[in-house]
Amino acid sequence: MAILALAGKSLLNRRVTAVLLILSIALSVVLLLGVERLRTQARAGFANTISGTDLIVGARTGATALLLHSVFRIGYATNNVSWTSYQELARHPRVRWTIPLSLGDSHRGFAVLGTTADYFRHYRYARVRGLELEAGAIFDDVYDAVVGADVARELGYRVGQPIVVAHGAVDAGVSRHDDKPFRVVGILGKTGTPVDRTVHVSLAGLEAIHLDWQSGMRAPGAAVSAEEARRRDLTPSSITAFLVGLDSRTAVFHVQRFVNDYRKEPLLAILPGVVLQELWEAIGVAEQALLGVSALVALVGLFGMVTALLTGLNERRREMAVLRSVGARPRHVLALVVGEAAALAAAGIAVGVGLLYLALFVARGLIQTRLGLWIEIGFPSAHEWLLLAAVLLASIVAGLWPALRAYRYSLTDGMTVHV
Amino acid sequence: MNPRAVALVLVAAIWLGAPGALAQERPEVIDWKHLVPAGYDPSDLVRKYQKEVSRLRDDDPRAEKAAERLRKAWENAPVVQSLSNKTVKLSGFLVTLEGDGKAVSEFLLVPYFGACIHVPPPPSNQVVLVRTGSRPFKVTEVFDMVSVTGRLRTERSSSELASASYVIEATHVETHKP
Repeated sequence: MAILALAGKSLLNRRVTAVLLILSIALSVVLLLGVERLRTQARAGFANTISGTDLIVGARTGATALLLHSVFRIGYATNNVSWTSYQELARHPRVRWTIPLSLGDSHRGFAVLGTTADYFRHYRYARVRGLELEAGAIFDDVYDAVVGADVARELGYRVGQPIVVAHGAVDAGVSRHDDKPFRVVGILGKTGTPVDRTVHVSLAGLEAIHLDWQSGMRAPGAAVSAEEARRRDLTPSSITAFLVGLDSRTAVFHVQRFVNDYRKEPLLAILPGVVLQELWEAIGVAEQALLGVSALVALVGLFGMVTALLTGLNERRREMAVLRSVGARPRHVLALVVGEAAALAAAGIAVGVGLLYLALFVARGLIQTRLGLWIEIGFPSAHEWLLLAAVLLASIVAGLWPALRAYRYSLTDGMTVHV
Repeated sequence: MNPRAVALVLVAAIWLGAPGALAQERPEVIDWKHLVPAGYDPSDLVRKYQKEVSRLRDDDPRAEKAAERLRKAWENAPVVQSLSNKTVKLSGFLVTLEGDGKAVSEFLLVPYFGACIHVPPPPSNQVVLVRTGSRPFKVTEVFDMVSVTGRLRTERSSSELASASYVIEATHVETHKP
């Protein structure tokens, strides 16, 4: 159609403005979709961190605090669980398996977790996925370590690599257990959970490195060599927390009550599903706020488009008159302006989506390191398509304003313009 | 054969058979008390426990022992076998077991709000494990009140010490409108 060709040429004439408009819409789309992606990935990654675990038991503290430090390695335990209590609770008739966890040490920014081989057998995430080894094997010797995928990738570790564990949460080179180095014997596959950023060692290994430590420092004159430590009794006296699997999921309330009423030590048992739900609801407000902000940014982008179209109308009155002379009716002029708005928005959306994917490919590694979040790059979800459609619709509606203006101009001006 | 006769027989068969088939699909709305076998009255045990305990102090070891006995009985409450494999509709409170923050795929259905914090927890025949299969349920709040429709089953636990428990493979979960 001749009119479309003319409209195209008109846009080309104003190409600088057009390009700027497309870019501004593209950027707001990047923000809108980017925030949406981060949000859904964060939620899924968070909630998928642990599955198939009926209870988490630790020293008596708050439910959220226990979940955060035992599963997400955020925060600290206020106290420990004695080995005796752990053994007794693990022998409860309804308990099928337990995974003891011992936290506190670190290695170059990554948490060190003392546990048993059962961890690799029973730990589940994302409903049904278990932990898989990408290389090597699980620990066998006292000083064996199995590292998560990110630890291996960021520090360039291979099987056979010796590593030194530091005392406490910050590895600043001051309190290192360098007399008893560990050896990497296995590297886990990527999970998208805090497991990736953890160095796993045996409970015996953790006990060995602390044999000659008192109150957080090496006891002078009482050094125990690495070899000497092997010959000692390396049963821990306490652990930080443990995960529990029962013989039937409906028994969970009874066992939880049993642990919470346990007289010999103040303990707390939580249902991870419930606490995760509560936690996410608390964070959910921030989620909604983020979405609100990106929606506002999209709105600002659209305002920019409307402003540009409106201000350009005056200059285009002659152009409209020419179109009228060619045979365009005022309603064609209206359709043209709306069409222009839609076309600009569509182009902006396409460019925006392209930019987003580019940015995700480039920044994915950085986001992973800084935020611990792994962004899956796939096709836009149904929800995202809906958002894009909303932007397109909003731009068409916004384009109606300059379109109506143009309509009125073309009506009053006719084929001659008196500017 | 006479086509008219064939048609008549078909119509008759459908007319007679349909109600039966439909009845199979229509869920039986049950209440929590239907999950308790006739003759088993948990309140009997509670009454006995309360009588024993009313004369003792809270941390008296005898009170603990009595509580222990009550707990054991409730942990192994019997199930009603005749309900097995029936399609039922049951309403209660949802306790999340597996989910992704927005929707739950596995949860426990309990008869009253706050069953996790209540002392003592409900007897094992008043707790139902619900699996939503391929259609996870979107929760609106923790401890949502929901109505679950699906096939009820009794499942043995892996330990011989424990009695069987109820499981519903849900076909339909909705927020309960009282």
